[in-house]
Amino acid sequence: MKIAKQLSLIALLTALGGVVHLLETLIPFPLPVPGGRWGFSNAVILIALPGGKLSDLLLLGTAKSILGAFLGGRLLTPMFLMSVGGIVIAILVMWMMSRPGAPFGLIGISLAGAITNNAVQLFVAAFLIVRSTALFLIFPYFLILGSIAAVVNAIIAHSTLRKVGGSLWKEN
Amino acid sequence: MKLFRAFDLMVILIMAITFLLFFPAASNGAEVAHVFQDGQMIRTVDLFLDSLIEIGDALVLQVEKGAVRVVEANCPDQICVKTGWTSSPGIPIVCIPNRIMIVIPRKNDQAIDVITG
Repeated sequence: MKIAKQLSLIALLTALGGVVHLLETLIPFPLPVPGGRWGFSNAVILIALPGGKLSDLLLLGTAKSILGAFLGGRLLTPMFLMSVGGIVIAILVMWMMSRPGAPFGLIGISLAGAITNNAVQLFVAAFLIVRSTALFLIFPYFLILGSIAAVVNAIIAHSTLRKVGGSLWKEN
Repeated sequence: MKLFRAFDLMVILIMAITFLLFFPAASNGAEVAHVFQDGQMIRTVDLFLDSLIEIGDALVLQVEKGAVRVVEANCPDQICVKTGWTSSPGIPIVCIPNRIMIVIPRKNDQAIDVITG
């Protein structure tokens, strides 16, 4: 893939993800956790996953979080730290699960991404911010809400990928 | 890439196990709430002593009939205020800007505390 095309694809997905990241904070999140979000913006990561390079995906994920936090006025707050930490680890896990030959479908990959994202967010909040492991008591609720968004993301990614022929990164 | 493959069930299973491991015990009629700041317990509140309690200049807590809530906070997002009443160990009140958590300990935690002194 030509470098210009690759860059514009990353930029396009970053813009889309950043805006969804901002807009989803308007959907009420029924959990008393600062920075708690549904995670619908992770659909762009899932769309970029098949055929994507790990470095491109990490760039996309962090740029999306930075853009979303910037637009929402949360840049460099603890919530921002939770968001970036969560997305980086989640991308590593999802990338490994989407390697050619790995036996997982989009729903499994999306759910695993949501679990690791939520777990890392709570780890960052529990060990770096409030310094109390009692925060993990809300993990089950996080899991339920996160998996709803994860399944929705998988369905969105599946229908998008079908329309573009399986991968956004193909040379054509 | 397929939407769903058989191995996805494994992910769902792992998730269900994690869920069960972490799921909190049902409400236990706890009698106290602990207030933590920076991971240090700074105060223990009797939940059956109806009162208004100030935590520094950060929060004002209200205690009534075995439950506690934050009525006033000095932070911009007011998430702890919106959390509302809690009387369950499963739902701590969290204030990230002030690094404060209000937690109701589980009954068996209290029992262990009593045994080990």
